[in-house]
Amino acid sequence: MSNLANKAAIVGIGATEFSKNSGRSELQLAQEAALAACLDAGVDPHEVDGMVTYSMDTNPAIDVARGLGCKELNFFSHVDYGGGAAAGTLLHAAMAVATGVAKTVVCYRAFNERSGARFGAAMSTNGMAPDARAANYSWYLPSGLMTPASWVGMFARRYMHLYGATSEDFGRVAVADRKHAATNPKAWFYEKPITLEEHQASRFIADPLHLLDCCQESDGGQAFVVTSVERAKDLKGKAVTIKSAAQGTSYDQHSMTSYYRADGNRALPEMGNVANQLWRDTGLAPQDIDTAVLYDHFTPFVLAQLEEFGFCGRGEAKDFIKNGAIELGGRLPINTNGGQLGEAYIHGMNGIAEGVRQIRGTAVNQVANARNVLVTAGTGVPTSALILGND
Amino acid sequence: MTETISEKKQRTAVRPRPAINFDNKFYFDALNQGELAIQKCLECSQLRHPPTPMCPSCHCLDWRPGVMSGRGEVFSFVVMHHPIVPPFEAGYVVAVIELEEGPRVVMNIEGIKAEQVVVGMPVLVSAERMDEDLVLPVARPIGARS
Repeated sequence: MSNLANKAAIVGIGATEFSKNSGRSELQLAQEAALAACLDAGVDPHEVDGMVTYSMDTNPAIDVARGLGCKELNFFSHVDYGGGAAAGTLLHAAMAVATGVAKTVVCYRAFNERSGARFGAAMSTNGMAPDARAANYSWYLPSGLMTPASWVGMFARRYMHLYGATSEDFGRVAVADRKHAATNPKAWFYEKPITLEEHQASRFIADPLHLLDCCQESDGGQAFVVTSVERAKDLKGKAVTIKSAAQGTSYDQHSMTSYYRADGNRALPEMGNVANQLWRDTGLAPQDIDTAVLYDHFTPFVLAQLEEFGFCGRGEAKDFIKNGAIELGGRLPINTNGGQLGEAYIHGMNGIAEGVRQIRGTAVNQVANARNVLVTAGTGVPTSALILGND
Repeated sequence: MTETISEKKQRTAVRPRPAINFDNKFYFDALNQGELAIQKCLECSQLRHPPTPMCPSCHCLDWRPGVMSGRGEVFSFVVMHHPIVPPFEAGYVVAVIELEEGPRVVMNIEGIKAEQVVVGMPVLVSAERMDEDLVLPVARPIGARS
């Protein structure tokens, strides 16, 4: 076990409403979510001494801290690689409290990703200096491979070719997400389940991906308060232990476009790296996981994640997910909040909040006696994941 | 007949430009000369794409552009429907092409209907001019005329 396992706890969660047009600044969303997390934890916001967010967030730690009135920060970290960093924020916070660098760390993410700058729009490097980050896009944008859906669609087609998976197999993920969203009043698609036929009839975005394979674009904020497990006992908020958290890349890692590896048939070895770290660190195995929130910006990578974590063999996820296995009551219910297809796309952070609720026993779609919950972050990029528990 | 704004945009828009720097200039220079060149380590001869200054195998910083035959096959592909940014038109195909020398490169497939493209299909890659300032590799099914 690493020095991190079972050292830190999430003691507070807080979020704004999830919408398509928040009508206020991203900074306000961040401050609202952070304050709500502090109130849930029973922590005085003035005493927060650490802050973690991640790339693509426009709210600097000091601007969020000004609103909370934090007296002084001893730790501030900005994790790279967008949604792949979501669980990484909790890893950084846990390391900070486990080492005593900080006592009370707020992790946050807030954006107007629907009413403001939309991630689903075509990427452009206009105006950017030709550094390594911009140059990376030179291999894609001139040929019209410009969107996250197109980058993931490329992996999806290969996966279908190799394993005989079909668009309907991807659709089963969407159906499960939307089924769970339908009974979650916070979800954008509350009371709006879909059928597999509706998934199949939805228009193509980046063939083989249909519209209903793609997550929403959302406005909203989500935050957490992390402290040590010892201090958590004295706080009001019901503590959820970070059993372990991990970040990971793999050989010849790219961001969304790792098409070049020797084993080009394996889409997400970086998630396999994260999985290995988590299993080793916790002593847990796939059969110990009661429910999972698997990052679902696009449905095909949910199948690949099930394989990388060893819930099933390579290429077998299409069989694993049949017959409602990933729906509430199935062998591994996933994305019980509705996921990012059904609840909202808060860049993976709302999924971590659902993991906390499952352990607390307060989820709207509660899995009975959930003791170990796996939550993953953005796929296809340098990524992260964590396992939450109650002991 | 007067031209609509969207018609004019479609006619005059150009593809996104590559961000060219020390590390990738050779690739676009080679395309301008009509060749597809992949970075090749001078020490261990390993080909690497996309380029990066250091050879990941032997850590040599010396390399040269290695000209490829152009033969390859479709490793994967997508057919784009949304969003469509001019000058692209809905239904265009972008593929990962695996060259016979090993490296994989992203490019468009032309000269075939999107619904006829399949993974594993053999293609021939050549440098094709997109506009005054841009030459890109394009894959065409073997036997098709460019």
